[in-house]
Amino acid sequence: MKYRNLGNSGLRVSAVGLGCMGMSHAYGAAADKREMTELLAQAVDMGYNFFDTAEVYGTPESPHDNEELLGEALKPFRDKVLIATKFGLRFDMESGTVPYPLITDSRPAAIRNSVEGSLRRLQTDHVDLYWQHRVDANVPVEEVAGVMQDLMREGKILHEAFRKLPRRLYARLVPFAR
Amino acid sequence: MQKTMKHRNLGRLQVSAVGLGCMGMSHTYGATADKREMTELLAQSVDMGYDFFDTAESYGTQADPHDNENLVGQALKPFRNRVVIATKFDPATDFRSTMPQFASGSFEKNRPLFALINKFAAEHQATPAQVALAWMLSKKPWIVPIPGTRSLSRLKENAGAADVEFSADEVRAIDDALDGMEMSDVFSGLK
Ligand SMILES: NC(=O)c1ccc[n+]([C@@H]2O[C@H](COP(=O)([O-])OP(=O)(O)OC[C@H]3O[C@@H](n4cnc5c(N)ncnc54)[C@H](OP(=O)(O)O)[C@@H]3O)[C@@H](O)[C@H]2O)c1
Repeated sequence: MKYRNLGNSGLRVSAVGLGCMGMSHAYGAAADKREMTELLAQAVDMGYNFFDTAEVYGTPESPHDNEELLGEALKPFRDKVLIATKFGLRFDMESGTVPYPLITDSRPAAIRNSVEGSLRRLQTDHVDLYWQHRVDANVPVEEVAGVMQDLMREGKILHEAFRKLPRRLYARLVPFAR
Repeated sequence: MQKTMKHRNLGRLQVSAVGLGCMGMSHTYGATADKREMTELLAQSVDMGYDFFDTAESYGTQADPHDNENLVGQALKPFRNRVVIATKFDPATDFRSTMPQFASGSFEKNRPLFALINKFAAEHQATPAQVALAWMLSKKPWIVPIPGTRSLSRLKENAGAADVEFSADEVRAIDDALDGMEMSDVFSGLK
């Protein structure tokens, strides 16, 4: 396996990472947990060290299925792997439509709540890369960045990132850049 | 029209030995003209002896998530007492049912793309997926694709993509070909 520096994060990751969403979410019924646990161990064995999940990858019956799967499966390798997860998005799974309608929530209290839940399910004391899953129109990006910085100071997350951030909002994050 | 369709027992239901799966009909049309065509096609299928139709609550489009049930419902209304309609309130969780690249017609439309990918795959003794990933990797040294899979063989295959390397000329050739190529729409994330 080859390795690369991911963006400008300083994270050294396998040139190909493993997106884990499809094991639990969006592609019909979740895959068999035991099989996926085995597959994840084999991935580590092959040199994959970068795993992507999110708080919301799951099914109506098991809304956080994917984080729970990764937490258990990657536990033996936790010091060798990097885990990216995401907050700030819920799916309206009750609506009966696919893709599920999205509900954004990046209020500071929601982020705090999310990070604690993710750490517990991932069975770890830190998230390597923490993404805002979607911009929340009701919460200024500076406020989100402020919470992320606090979480970094507390050691709960090591790196922050923002998905689907409109270009004009990036400028407002510059003062937060290290 | 031939009316010699054979019938079979599906539990206690008697249905045509071949039924008609209607999912694909909902992903193609944007224009009403196509909807009219599909309505016509459904009527013709009844004429041919089809009397078993499969749809689902979740077969739809971005514009109308229940498009398929609406289509099938309207088109088969005149024949309602003669046909069996199966629908599913499937834990509506497979997003691929609404992705434009899997819509009927997209496969045909994307043939030139497949040909391009297969050509480079052959030249590099790589698989098509490896070519797609290697092309992404070639764009910037700090890009890291994260293809998901549930299968071990693909896990290996995808890891191997990092060993497929394209020269600057090859990347340019691919980009030029892509720029001039017609393709289907592709799912580009939830809004
Ligand atoms: N943040 C977000 O909003 C968001 C949205 C979408 C995705 N993601 C993340 O990004 C990752 C990648 O997403 P994606 O949409 O690119 O794809 P994906 O959800 O990971 O799914 C990949 C699909 O391609 C198939 N596949 C994998 N390797 C293949 C190969 N070598 N040849 C042929 N088919 C292959 C897989 O099927 P098999 O399982 O049968 O191999 C699967 O159906 C996700 O897993 C997730 O972690 C994030």
